[in-house]
Amino acid sequence: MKVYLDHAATTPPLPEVVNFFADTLRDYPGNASSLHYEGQHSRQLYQWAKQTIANCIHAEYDEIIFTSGGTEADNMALFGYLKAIKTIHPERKKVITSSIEHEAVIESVKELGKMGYEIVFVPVNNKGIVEIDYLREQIDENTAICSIMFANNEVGTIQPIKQISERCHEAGCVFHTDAVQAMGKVEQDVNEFGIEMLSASAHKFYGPKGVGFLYVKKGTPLEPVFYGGGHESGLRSGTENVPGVAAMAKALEIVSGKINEKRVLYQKWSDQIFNTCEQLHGVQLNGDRENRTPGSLSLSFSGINGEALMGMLSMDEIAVSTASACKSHSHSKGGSHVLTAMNCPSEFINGTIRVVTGWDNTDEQIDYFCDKLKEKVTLLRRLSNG
Amino acid sequence: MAERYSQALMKHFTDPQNIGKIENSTLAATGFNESDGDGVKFYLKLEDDVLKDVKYTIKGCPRAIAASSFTSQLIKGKRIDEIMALDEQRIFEELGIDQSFTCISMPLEAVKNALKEYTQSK
Repeated sequence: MKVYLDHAATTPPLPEVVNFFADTLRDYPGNASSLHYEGQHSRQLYQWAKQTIANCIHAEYDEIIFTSGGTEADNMALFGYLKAIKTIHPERKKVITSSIEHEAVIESVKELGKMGYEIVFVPVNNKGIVEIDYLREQIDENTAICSIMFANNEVGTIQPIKQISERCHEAGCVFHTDAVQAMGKVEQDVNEFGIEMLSASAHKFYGPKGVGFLYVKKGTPLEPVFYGGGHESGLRSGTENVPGVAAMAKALEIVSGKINEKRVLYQKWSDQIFNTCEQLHGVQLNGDRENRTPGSLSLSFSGINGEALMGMLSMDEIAVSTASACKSHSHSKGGSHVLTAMNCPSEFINGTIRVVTGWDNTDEQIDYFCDKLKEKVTLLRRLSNG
Repeated sequence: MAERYSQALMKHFTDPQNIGKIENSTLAATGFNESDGDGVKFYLKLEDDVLKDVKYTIKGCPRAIAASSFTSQLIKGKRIDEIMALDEQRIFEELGIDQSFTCISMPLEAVKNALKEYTQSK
């Protein structure tokens, strides 16, 4: 029995999304920027996709910019916004983010640091939630942009988005959120949350890989980060990926309608997995038990190596991920910066796996996983105890 | 996994040989990574400078488990001077792993260090 439990890494596209993608790839061959009938046919589908996505997050049609995924959307938000305000607000040179962001944001802000911006990494508490008082203090009249992820990709913790955006607005700075892990799992309303920019990626919500979007609230200054034929109102040049954006819209439309139903199911499975872990002893759940994306579990096991557990489970066709793997050139670990920031002891970081359930899982699969987890943890502990 | 773990490595990782402890071992050899608590402990039973038996306990990544298993097979029955002459390169080649992963060489290094101390103290 194959059991895929790595839905934070990527999600298998829904069958109806695959069919829709194949249909549009075949039936909409025109360039959506062409003026002839074939181009206009594709344009209509492209417009439907943009409006559908806008509806799902309570945005407007022209507030959506299609991208190649979450990483491009994050880069566009940070570099594009700072480029746009460079002459309007030269005094705003401070960029605030958290210490547990995805590399798409962390590496981007490091690059901004090299360009002369002041970078502030806000610490998190042991549940993985940003230190809100410190964040409030740091956001001031010199802050250009604050970028805090909606939900963390390793531990699933959801950040206090509304509180953060309110503080940003008091100080007159823009708020961006990388919502890649939250989209399709948590209701999104950009107005309710007070978000100026939001990044998302289709393959995290059962859509195709290589396509995503950036929401940009009307009136938010933005410059392109690369140039070409002036697509997406001149902000993201490149021929429109009509089948990709259409399949993304289809996926988001479907998953957005089932968020509550899936939350209940995922909670049942999470409880079952966690109860199994409690029987094993020496297991720690990382992050906030309640305030997390449904179905996400970061589990640390004492006395075993997480990569070894992942490898053992994989032998039985169970896919989970690990927070730590040996780096070449040393025995030091490519340890999780997220768990490190949460002050998780290194021995626990080393013994961590991430288990994330999804639409394709069944009760039988979770039963099988729990049985195999017990078996493999016991086996690995036997290796270390003799 | 297919790219990162060779077939030979998977064979040793999923069915590690010589796991356990030896009650009356001549000496123990430990390799340890302080940063994360991973480590291996070999129990060596020597008779007339020949390694008659070897067992080990390990907490480590798949590479370290496989390397410990292969190392235990490689050294069992050999004389101390033969073990000291063994080249770590052989383990990297056998397990098909990039030489930069020190978790592969850790088990043999641990055994060699312990044997070196043992022979010097005799």
